[in-house]
Amino acid sequence: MVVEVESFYGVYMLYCTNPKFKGRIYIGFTVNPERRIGQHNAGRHRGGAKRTSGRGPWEMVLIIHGFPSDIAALRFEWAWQHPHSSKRLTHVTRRSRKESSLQFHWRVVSNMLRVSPWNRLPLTARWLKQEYRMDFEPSLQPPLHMPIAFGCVRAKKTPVLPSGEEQEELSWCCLCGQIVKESEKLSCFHLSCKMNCHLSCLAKRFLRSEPTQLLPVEGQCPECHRAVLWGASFATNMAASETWRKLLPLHHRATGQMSCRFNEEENYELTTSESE
Amino acid sequence: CFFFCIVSNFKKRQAQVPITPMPHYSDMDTPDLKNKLNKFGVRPLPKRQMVLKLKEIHQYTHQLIRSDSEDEAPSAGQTSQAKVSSSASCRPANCAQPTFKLPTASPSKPSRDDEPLSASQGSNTSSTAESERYKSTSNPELVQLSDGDSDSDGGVSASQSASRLQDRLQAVRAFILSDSSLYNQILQYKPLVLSQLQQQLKAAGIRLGITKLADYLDSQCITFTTAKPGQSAPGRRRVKKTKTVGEGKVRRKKVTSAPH
Repeated sequence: MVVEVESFYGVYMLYCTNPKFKGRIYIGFTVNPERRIGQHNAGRHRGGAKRTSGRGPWEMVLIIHGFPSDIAALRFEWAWQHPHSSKRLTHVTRRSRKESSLQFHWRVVSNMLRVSPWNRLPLTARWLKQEYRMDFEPSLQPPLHMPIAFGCVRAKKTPVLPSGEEQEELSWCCLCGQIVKESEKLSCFHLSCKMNCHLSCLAKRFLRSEPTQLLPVEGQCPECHRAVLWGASFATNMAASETWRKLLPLHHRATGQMSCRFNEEENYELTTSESE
Repeated sequence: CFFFCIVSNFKKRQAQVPITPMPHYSDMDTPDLKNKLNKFGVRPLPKRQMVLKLKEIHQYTHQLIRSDSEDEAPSAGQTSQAKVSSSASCRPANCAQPTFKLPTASPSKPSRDDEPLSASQGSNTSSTAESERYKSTSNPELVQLSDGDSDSDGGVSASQSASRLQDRLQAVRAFILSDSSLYNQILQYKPLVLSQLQQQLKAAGIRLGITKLADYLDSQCITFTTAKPGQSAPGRRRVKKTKTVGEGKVRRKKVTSAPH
């Protein structure tokens, strides 16, 4: 079962299985991981990077996805590639002799998920290949809202919304009682829950426990009280005008709701499996 | 003429066996080469270049200087020639000076476009065409954020300026919360244009250096871009020199299927 995600922005790690190249690692960005690995292994004339061309075969072993914009993902990619140049990773020591490249890059990314500007983003750390899977060091556990996932992921084509007139359905904010415009409306993921509210109203509610922050991470739907992740489905691209505004269910590692079986279909029930 | 005599002497000398024979740099290990270069303040380079650089340095450091006071020719074979040229008080134009500055490469800075050496052996960290453009134009870690305005207070103590900064950051926070379109943008994870935000803040009477502003946004996990608003986000469209065969075919098909 392949998990499908819309508005996919991911930063992945490739591993070279050719013994001649001794476990070389490559870090890259993609909006379509299945296509991307094919490009890498096909060589630079078929869209693969020059650095990986002819130096394969490559396996895409790990991918961090859930970035809400390409810009956020690209900055993450750069920092992962240059941890010693990044202002945010000065605490990450250089690779030791006993550390393989794979272990080093895993250590770097483990650190990255814990610090700003990434530790409040709705990211998922996903091992695509079971055989390479490594656990997070006890001292380098990612933020609780970030799932650790196993299995394949597919970038789903975002359906094109009919453009033109904005459907001005009238809704009322369940928190402040005022009218909510479509452009500032948030709804609950669960179809049975009719919760509507202002983005800023719910943000204020979610941030009650974190008064110094501006960006919420998680909270409870005010109507159905289910635990939700703040806008994991917000997808933004400077060029795109469409955004999805639905709260997604939160699988909180602390409460043990996250199941870690390999290849299990997990949280993103939002997407339906359409054939492309 | 006089000058030419010196030059020809100099050239002759270069062709002779140097005082200290040059080590076999081409047979040395890469770590050894790195260490040797490090002593001259030169950063690690690809092996081939390190060998060349060390040879160059050796030649520089093992030349003879032809001035009255600084004759560095210890061996007997050289001294006779040194005497010949020491009568000339001028130095040939291409003579090395005793204290020279090596053409040192700066230690790897993030602003270089090519890949800096990463700590992991054999690691391959590179990027797609689209990321390359991001790196050179929009990456907040690379772009030199020039602080147009700086604190003009002279003898302010560290704690005072820190609390002043805190005040300004509080003002930034209040500004964001008060501007609903801006706050909604943030809540939807839409990247902010850093320079625009700084201008908006300035218009509201909040003066904050762009670096400090970027640091604050980072601490809040608010995505921003240093690209100018006119520029598109790091483009999805790749500049490929060769198109795939499939793509080409599709294009042609479309063209020929024009109504007729």
